Amino acid sequence: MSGVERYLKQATRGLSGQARRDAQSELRGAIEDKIWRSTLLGMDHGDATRTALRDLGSPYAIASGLTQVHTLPKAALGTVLAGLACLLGVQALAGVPVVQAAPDPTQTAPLLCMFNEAAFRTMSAAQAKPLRWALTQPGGRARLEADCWFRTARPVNNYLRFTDVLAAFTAGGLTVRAMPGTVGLLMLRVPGQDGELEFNVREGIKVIDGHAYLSAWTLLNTVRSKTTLPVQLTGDVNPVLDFGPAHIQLGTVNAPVRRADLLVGDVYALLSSSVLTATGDSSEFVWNQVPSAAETHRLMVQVPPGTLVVTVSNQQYVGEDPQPPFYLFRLQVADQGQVPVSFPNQRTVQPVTTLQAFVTATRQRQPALLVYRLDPSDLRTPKLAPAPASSLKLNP
Amino acid sequence: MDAQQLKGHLDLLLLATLEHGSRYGGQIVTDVQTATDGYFNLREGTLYPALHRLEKAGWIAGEFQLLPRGGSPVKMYTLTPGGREELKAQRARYERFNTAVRGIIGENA
Repeated sequence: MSGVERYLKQATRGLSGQARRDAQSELRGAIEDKIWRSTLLGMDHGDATRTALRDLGSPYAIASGLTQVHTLPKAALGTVLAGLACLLGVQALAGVPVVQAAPDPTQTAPLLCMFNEAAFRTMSAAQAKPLRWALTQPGGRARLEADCWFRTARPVNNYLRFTDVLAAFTAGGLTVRAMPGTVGLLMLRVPGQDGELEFNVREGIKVIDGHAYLSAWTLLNTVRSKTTLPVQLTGDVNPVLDFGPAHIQLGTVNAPVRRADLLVGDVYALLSSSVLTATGDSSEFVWNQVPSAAETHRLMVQVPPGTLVVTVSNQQYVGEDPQPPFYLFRLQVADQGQVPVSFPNQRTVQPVTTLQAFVTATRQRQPALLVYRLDPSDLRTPKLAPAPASSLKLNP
Repeated sequence: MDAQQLKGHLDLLLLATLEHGSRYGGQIVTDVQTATDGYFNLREGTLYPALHRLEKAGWIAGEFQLLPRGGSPVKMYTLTPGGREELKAQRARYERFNTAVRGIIGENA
């Protein structure tokens, strides 16, 4: 699959049927147009393609935007949100600032990784042919699915019951005012901060099982872009979000929210921009937060308990896999100075702490693991810090 | 350019760009950049979801068209009569807002 086709697939993840085919055609036209313009200016085709994809930005951002437009049943949302104002009053009395969570139902691997005729019809003949052939081979379907699942960020409980969020705001002493005639546009008055905050979370709302849910990323991003107060997320499992007097526990025992899953998007943003700067290369980053059965190594790292550790692996660059390469990263909590990592078929893996060393190892096709700490002390400005190099050790 | 500021006026900008004729995504980005001397730099990650939202609202209509240069078709967007009404309403709202702000901050000396 070419870089463009892979990009199209990722950028339309979450859509299905005609909507997906149309969105892919539209983006394909847009990419070809950009490539054509750049080649007119004398750029070679490869560079023009890389530039076009870089200009388009993260395919995950497009996918998230498109999914929200196409999968949000407008009428259902209207009905769901209609009663919010009354619910606010009732739940505020209960005063339990716990927020129930659920995974995004459109992002499950079985929905995204379907290898059947319906899916093949959305592809060109050249793309579909090797897949059809692979399905006829013994174990072919399992291999295709495993590869697709591996590349798919697994769904985690990052959607929050919207009424719970609003009730928690109210319980924390915030004043919430819904703007009449709008969906997901609220005005918040936060003690300690002047004026009202425009809290526009329309893009992050989804209907799940007949209830409105808000993406935890949208909540976090909106809060930190709007408030002048420090924003903190404390605790590894079912973390507490603090800003001003608001004190909100995200997740429950039955549907836990993990802090690392909420901050992995920050790591993506920080890493992709620093790698772009370091290499000028439009390398792709894929994150996978779900522990794999094939964890082969344990990384020893001397950090205080509860430190968030980022590991970036170049295994897809140095292996024999014919698929286009990508960097795979994970954000995990160090447990007794260790985090599990997966490096199948590799005995010797070099842990490194600088981007430069990682890039050099990758160019020499040496398996390497880049290690950072994430400093989440104020989420308005999350930072990556180097891991203590002398303490790093990889045990098979 | 503050992304939040752009976001608040994105629909108005897109509808206004289509007022004088059909455009596809790449042209809209260039038009907005040229018309504002680079002040607004639309990211396509924001553009396509926004265009689809306006299309769902019935304010613009998209149609695939082949370009003379060949290659894959591009999706060309046109303002619908409903979109023209919406543009008028959004423009009036923006003018009222602008006048109100000017009343407070005053004219540029």
